[in-house]
Amino acid sequence: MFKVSKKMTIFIVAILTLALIAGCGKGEGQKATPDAGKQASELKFPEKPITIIVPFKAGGGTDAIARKLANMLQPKGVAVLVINKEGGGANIGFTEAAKAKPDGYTLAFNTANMAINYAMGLSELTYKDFEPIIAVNTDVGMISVRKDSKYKTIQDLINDAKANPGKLKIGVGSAGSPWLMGLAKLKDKAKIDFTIAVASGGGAEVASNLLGGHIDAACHAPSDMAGLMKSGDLRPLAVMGDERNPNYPDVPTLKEVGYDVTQLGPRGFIAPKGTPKEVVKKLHDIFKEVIDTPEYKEYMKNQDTEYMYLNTEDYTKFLEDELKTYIELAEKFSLKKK
Amino acid sequence: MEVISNLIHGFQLAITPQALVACLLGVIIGTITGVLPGLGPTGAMALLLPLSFGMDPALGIIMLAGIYYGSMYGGSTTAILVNMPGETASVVTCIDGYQMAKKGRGGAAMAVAAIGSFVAGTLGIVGLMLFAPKLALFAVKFGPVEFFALAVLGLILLSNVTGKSMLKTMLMVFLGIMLSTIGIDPQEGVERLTFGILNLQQGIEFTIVAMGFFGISEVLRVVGGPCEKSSVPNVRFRDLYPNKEEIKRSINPMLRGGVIGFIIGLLPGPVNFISSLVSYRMEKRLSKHPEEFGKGAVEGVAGPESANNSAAAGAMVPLLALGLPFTAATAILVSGFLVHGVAVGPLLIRQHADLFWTVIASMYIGNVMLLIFNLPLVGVFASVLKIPPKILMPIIMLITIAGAYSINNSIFDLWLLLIFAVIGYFAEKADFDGAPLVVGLVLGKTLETGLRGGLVLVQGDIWQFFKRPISGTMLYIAILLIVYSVVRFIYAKNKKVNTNTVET
Repeated sequence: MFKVSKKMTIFIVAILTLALIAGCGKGEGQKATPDAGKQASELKFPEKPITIIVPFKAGGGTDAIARKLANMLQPKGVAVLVINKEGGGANIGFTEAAKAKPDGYTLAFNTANMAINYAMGLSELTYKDFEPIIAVNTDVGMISVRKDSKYKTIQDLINDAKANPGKLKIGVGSAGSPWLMGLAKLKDKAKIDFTIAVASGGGAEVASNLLGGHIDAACHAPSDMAGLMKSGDLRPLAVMGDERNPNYPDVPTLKEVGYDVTQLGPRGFIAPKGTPKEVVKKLHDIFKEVIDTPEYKEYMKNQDTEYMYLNTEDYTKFLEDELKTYIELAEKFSLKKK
Repeated sequence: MEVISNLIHGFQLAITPQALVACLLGVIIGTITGVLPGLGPTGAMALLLPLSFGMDPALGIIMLAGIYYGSMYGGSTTAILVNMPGETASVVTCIDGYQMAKKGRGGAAMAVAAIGSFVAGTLGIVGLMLFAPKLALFAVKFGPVEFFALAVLGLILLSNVTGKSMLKTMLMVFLGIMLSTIGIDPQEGVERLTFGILNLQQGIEFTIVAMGFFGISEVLRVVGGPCEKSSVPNVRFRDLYPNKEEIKRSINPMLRGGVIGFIIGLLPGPVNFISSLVSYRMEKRLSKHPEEFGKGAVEGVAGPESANNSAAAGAMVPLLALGLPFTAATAILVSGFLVHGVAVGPLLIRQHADLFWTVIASMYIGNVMLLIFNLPLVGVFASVLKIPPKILMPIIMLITIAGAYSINNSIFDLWLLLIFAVIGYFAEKADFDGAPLVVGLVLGKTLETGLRGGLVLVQGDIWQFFKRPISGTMLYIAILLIVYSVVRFIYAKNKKVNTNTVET
């Protein structure tokens, strides 16, 4: 070997390292520059693949729906790239989407987390930093107990919580989840107090804690415990929607039993602020076409989640109301951290 | 027996050409994701999930499961060759695997890892097949309180894996625990120690730390070291594979690793990593020549590499028996089932017996394929070491950086990778070990969520931690271990023996 090889190695390693970091960084460094001047008279969109930022890790419910839609858009000539930007209770993904070029080629898959994070003082971002496009799906919260639980109805559970304030332990899957907010609403409307046990490992961990008798009940998305509810190991007591869940027709809504509590975990697409109106319109139409298919609705049913469609205007209104509710709840139950 | 007739039926369905192709595809992709550092099974499975939508349910699951357990095979390759853990499960393999490679036994180490993976993988499936429903009920007994006790015991048992200075080890463990608190607080959702940096909200990814601390810092060491033609002496083809002595010494660690890995795999958390650590610790204790550990003991590769494979099979138990995916990778399998209207849960085995047994049978077939596929690859990979470092090291750097980026699609992670590489480089010079740091980082999270989540459940009554049967037992054992090591420490000091080698 030559004498110079050591220095050369250092050099090559250094160059490659920097080049790679610089190369990877290119996409992220782009500043948000309004692209208003380039509006063509007729809209040719999309001309290249659309990137959807999923602010959660691969393998979750949100990720699965994004990938399903990407898969359904493919045959229609719309190429979609799903990218997972996990972390910070979805803050990291949303922040990156907010900073992306507002040309409609970078979207975020929005969940309730953005509004909750804002209400809890964890993030400055709200729906106002984006252009809402369309809502495509929602989880509807549920409260369940073990099959051998003494609570036969939701009323049993509420009565017990009333008689023994703070004793009952109800679990949720993460600190920033909509189900935590749902439980706060229940405390508020039913005027009861119980302990909320946060299992940081998500839905599977709450289900495990419930099954193992570590908690008395759980508030969760139906899909978190679908198999266990079907087998009868867990018993759903109430649904937190306006209507009953068609997969569990015997389970009443909280409204039916006299408590005006609903809790949704809606999902929809949002684009960076400043994305041209007609691009938003076009994106809405693209998504509307695929979600209005039997295939998508069948998928929703199989995944034990629900179809929900809101157009751009309704979705914006929905996000506005949602944010207001969470801010109020966070103040009432001193959930805000800053 | 019913199990056998079911299994035979499963095999009939699993040896159809389509099923074999799906299985082969899965295990090949799995091996590739295993070999490439950073790139884990979760990413590959998520990418291929939509493809499985259009397939027959059984075929889709066979393929996805193949990626999952296949990735456990390849992970050891880069760990052995260049001290770069391909997956977190292979961090432990670095310790002795890399030393073996330095002595020219890299091929043997890789072959032992492949055989161990096969043996333990198969053992794991047997366990899965026979005991799934019963074992799943054991898993749910572990709530936050039990996890706290497990983490305490784990920290005491596992931190001193390499047996260096007690003080330095403890420093690294605590540093690891401190690093684990960075990010969003798992209980209250408060930002901690992020200094306003958004990317720190996600916390410190332990794969990144391991890759930087072990892999990249090794590249730096090679670059900084004396110029060598290639890092290993030339080996003859015959020496690529383990000799009789090595095989003999590996058999028991493989079997023990297989059993312990399967049991740990039942629990939530980073089980692949923890099971490999436990196995390493156990082998070191049981070995007749513990002084060889850290210097290229074949048991230090055979045990951990077996354990992480059977942990992968163990993780399928709560998934298939209860529908509870404790890891991101198994969560994707749930999606794969759900999309075909198959709800994973206690009813799966009864209502979809065909599907269940076909997947089980395919896992046996897949493991055989992986063995056949991986053994010849040993020769190919071993020859990688003949490449002069000046060419090999930049390539490794490139692959690692690409892999690290792929974990979270985050540039920030690359800076972390480099920072930990530099820390790792100087830590090695000062004789600080990386393994305790990773242990602290991994178990620190479990420790915190267990303690805080547990305190909520027992409503502040900390004695409950000692009163519950499982957590109480583990905590009392932990206390005994501390007392024992303190007594031994004092005794050793009085005898004026070199205290540096005292173990916990």
